[in-house]
Amino acid sequence: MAGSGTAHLRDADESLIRVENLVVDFPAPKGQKVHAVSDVSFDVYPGETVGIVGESGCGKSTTGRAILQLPRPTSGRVLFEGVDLTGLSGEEMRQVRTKLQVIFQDPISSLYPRRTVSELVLEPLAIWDVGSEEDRVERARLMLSEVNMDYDTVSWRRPYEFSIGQCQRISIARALMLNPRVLICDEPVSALDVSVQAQILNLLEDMKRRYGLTMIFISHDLAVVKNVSDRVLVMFLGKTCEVAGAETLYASPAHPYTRALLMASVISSRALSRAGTSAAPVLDEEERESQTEMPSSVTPPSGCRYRTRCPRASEICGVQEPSMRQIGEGHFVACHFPLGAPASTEATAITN
Amino acid sequence: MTRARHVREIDDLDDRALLEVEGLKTHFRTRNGVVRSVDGVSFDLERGRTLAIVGESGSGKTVLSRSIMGLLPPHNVVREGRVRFGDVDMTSASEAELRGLWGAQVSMVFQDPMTSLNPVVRIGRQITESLRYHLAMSRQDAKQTAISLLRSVGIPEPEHRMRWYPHQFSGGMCQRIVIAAAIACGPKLLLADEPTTGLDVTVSAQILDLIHRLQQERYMSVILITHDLGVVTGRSDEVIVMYAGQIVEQAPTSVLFRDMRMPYTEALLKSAPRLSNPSHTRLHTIPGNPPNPADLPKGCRFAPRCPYVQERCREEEPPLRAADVPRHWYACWYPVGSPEGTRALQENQAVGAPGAVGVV
Repeated sequence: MAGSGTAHLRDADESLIRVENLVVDFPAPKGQKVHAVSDVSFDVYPGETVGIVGESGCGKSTTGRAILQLPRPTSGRVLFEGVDLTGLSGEEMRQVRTKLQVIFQDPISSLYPRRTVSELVLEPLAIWDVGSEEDRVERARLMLSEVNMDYDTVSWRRPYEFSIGQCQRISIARALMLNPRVLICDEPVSALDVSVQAQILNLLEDMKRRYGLTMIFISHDLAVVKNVSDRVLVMFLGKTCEVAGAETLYASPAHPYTRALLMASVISSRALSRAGTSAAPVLDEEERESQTEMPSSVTPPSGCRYRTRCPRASEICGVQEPSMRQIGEGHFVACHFPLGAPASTEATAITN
Repeated sequence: MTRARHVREIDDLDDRALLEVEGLKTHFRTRNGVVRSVDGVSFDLERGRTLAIVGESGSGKTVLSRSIMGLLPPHNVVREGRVRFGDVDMTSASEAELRGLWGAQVSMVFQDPMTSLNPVVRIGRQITESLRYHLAMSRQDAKQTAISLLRSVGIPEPEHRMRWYPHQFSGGMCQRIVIAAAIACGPKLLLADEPTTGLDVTVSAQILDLIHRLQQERYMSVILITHDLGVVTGRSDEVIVMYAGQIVEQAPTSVLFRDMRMPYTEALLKSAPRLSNPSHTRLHTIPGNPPNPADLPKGCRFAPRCPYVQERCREEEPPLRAADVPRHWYACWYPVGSPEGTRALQENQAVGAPGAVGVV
């Protein structure tokens, strides 16, 4: 796993966003490189929500930002409405960004603290010189009411006067001011309490439906990702492990890493079902052992990058990187020895 | 080992609970009025048990843990009530007495492991420090003890890693080191304040299991403070749910999840997304915001957001009362699952009150 390949990409003509062989490296000391994202591909259809899950350092945020060319990827292509964003000039990219909006994890630091709410939400319109002053205020009034805030009460206030959940609402209103096609949500609810998290997730779903948005939803929380996503991409150390429809992925994870992630959160999830007992699910000794540290992204393991933590790893995993292959309807995995599916052809060849 | 110099030995051999908190109030005097962060909290904790304290941001759970430890700023704080730990009254103990307890008999694990370790001191020294100070161990003994502690919390090659600095470890590893330092002197009580917030799911499960294992091995009492109801199952004996500075429900863990009485507990449980739900499930939300602790509503503090709310709730503050099951208490006039509660909810649903619609 933790593999490459583009077998899981769907029809290019129908995709709104198509990321092909995306690579993002950052310079590290002593002439080394941090391999943040290494050969990741995925696509998003219009109106779809694609969730990206993984632990810190797996490159999920870098992937989200690379779509916006923040910074420009080292190599690979990012197609949006059929146009390769990596080839655009700064000015052309600036034009495209009106259609690609982003919401960050920490709403308080993503709102400029000394501006009032009206300045914050009106700025995108001012930059693009959209409509008259009255039109703009009208639009701000509408968007703020969409996020359950009243323009007249909040317009003159500043971010510090609001709770973190309210700030996230303002961020969402601001992101929608220019009527974007795509909303990239980078851990939008990670800093919020569970009751506020529910409000924001419902709000994002409403906005998606009402404005026909396409979303890329990045989070480390599997339950949250499942709740909002149609398709889910699991990442590990800059590589893709598994791609599947949300239901399939959670019902029958094929990648050992997906399973490890699920097991870790099933504990909390089971607790929340009302019939929950106090028994935590048991990982066997081997699986528990395997849940060690993230390998270095400067010198990632050879072959499959997950093999150092993987209970199923064998020799071939260190030699040959698994590529994405189909194991079910819309279900793709990059692993030599997936769960509930036959081993890869390379692996079978060796055993024979 | 030489005789301990700086440990305040506590006597807990009688049949009283190890920790007893009684009517604890911590109020801060601010420009905006008196902020009632902890407002009349009482509970007790036996040796070897784990108590989870759950609540949203601002519910007072962190202030509560600091009040128990005696880690509050000296000014503008009004503290009332009593905290008895063993045979020590923590509320009236002098700072010197407290220093003999901190780290030795009661220690704390904070949320952010990176900031609770000193960045310019090797981790070995950060663990041996308390061993040398509290237990007056020799340099060699302390070093050996620290190595075995690091091994027991799952740090590979501890002999070698003793010389590393915190920045050379990941967040999860740092939290293990913090835990090793916290349990070094064999405390009787460990307070873990959001020990896994900010850590990845896999790491967070490991850290919670580690705390649980150490608690069993060492027969410690643990107070686990968290905002995530999910982390408390299987890892705590009892749960306290806090809202606006008060305990609104307390119960043995399995009872709480099966048989909650307080509408707030129910709402918290329902608002979390679950893996077992299909995608795009509409989440249950709690309308409104938690009250301003400087300007609390009259009556029940949850009333303005409660789907079960009735006239009485807005007037009279419900006391904490006992449920049918032993050690289960709740503060509600119209509890979940009771005939009067069901009727209250139905009435609210009939008039389409916000929050009541959608509650099953």
